Order: sequence, then C-alpha cells, then structure tokens
Amino acid sequence: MPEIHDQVRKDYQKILLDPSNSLVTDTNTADTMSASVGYTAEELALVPAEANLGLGCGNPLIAADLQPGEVVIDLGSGAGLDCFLAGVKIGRRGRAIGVDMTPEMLSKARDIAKKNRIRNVEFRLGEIENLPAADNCADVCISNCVINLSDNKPRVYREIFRVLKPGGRLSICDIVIMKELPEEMQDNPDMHSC
Amino acid sequence: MSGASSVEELENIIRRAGFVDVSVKEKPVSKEYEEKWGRSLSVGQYIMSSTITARKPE
Repeated sequence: MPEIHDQVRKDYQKILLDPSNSLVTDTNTADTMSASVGYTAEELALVPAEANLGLGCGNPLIAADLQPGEVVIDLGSGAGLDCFLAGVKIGRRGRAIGVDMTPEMLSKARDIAKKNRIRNVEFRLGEIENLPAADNCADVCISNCVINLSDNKPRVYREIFRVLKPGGRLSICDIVIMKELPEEMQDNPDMHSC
Repeated sequence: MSGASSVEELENIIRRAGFVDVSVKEKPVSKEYEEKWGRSLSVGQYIMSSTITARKPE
C-alpha cells in the first residue's frame, strides 16, 4: 500500500528535517538509545557520530558475525550506522550496501561517507520490497527495526532470499507482537513507524 | 510497530521464503525504547524486540 510507504517516509523525513518534532527526547540521546538496544561505546566510537540517530531496536551486527571481504546489504539503512559498523568488520575488500527509500536519509548517509572518506560503503535508493541489488550477490543481509513497517513482509523475505548467495545468512532485529494491540493503537498512524 | 507480526507468523514467512535454520529470539524492549516510541501507551506489554537469523541453503 503506497499510503503506508508515504507515511513511513514522512515520519523519517521529520526526524531529519525537524529536530523539534524528533522522537529523540532530551533524556534519551541517540547514544543512550543505542546502548539500551545493544551497541557498546567502543563500537559507536568506530563510526561517525552523526550516523547514529538512535532509531534501532537491537544490534544486528552481533548475530551477523561479519567476516573480512564479505558483501552485506542493510535493509532500511537510515543515516548508515549499521552500514558503517559493517564496513569496519568487512574491511577494504568487503562491501556494505545500504538501501533506504527516504531521500533525505540517503543524502545524509552519503554525505557522512564522503566527508569521512569511507569507500567500502555505498547507499542506494530503493524499497525493501524491491531491493536494488542483483540475485545471489550478498553474503549477509541485515536490518534494524524496519521490516515491521512493511505491509508485505513475505515479499521482503523473498527479496532477501533472492539477493543472498547460496549459503548466505540474514541477521535482523525487529519488533514482534506478543499480544494483539488494542484498536486505538492499531488505528493510530503514529503507532506505525518505529 | 503496529504493523509488526507475531513470532509464529514471522517464522512461517521466513520458512516459506526458502530459508532454513530459522531462529527468532525475543526479549523485552528497553525502557528507553518504550519511552521513546510508545507515546505513553505502555507498548511493552504488547511488543518485544527480536533477533532473527536464518540461512539460504547451498
């Protein structure tokens, strides 16, 4: 449904373009948020601070066990935190590809990469339901609190399957429902974006 | 988060896509996360954070 995509895109545009409406409160800085979901201070120190918007719900790099030389695709890469962290682990011979549908996030991530001369990370405009990547091209797919936003999760996972090499793996952090949300939450568009 | 799936739904989706060794491990969302995204609606009783791993067969 295009409306869901539009709503999600607008929500994430707001985070970048209007800090007064940002969901980062005074007491919960991006670093505090990231530490609370599994990033260490040592990890965060390895990458440009401006790439960390504190928007994840976990740390997919832990289970991903990235190795030097690997190709990794990040679905919904945002400002690039997980891609830049992946870039550190995969080294110069590896390649990290971030995919995001929000042009402003893409611009920010690309600016960060350029400013910091990070050459093994690239960012592509696209939807996670239609990944801008060839078949069998990636060793690993990661994602952080993004796939729950899609209204076509089967399609997303089929796309991940398509782009992974045989033997490739996925490591995804995401929100799961433990009991049905009350109607007031289900019908509230503000409760969709995470 | 209102578009999130249950663990069982997610496992089924991932297996149907062709993956093997599917694992979904859930844990409570952090207090900071609930405060930031929950909009004062105590969402922690409805959702959890999960780490999902799986492998494409050779």
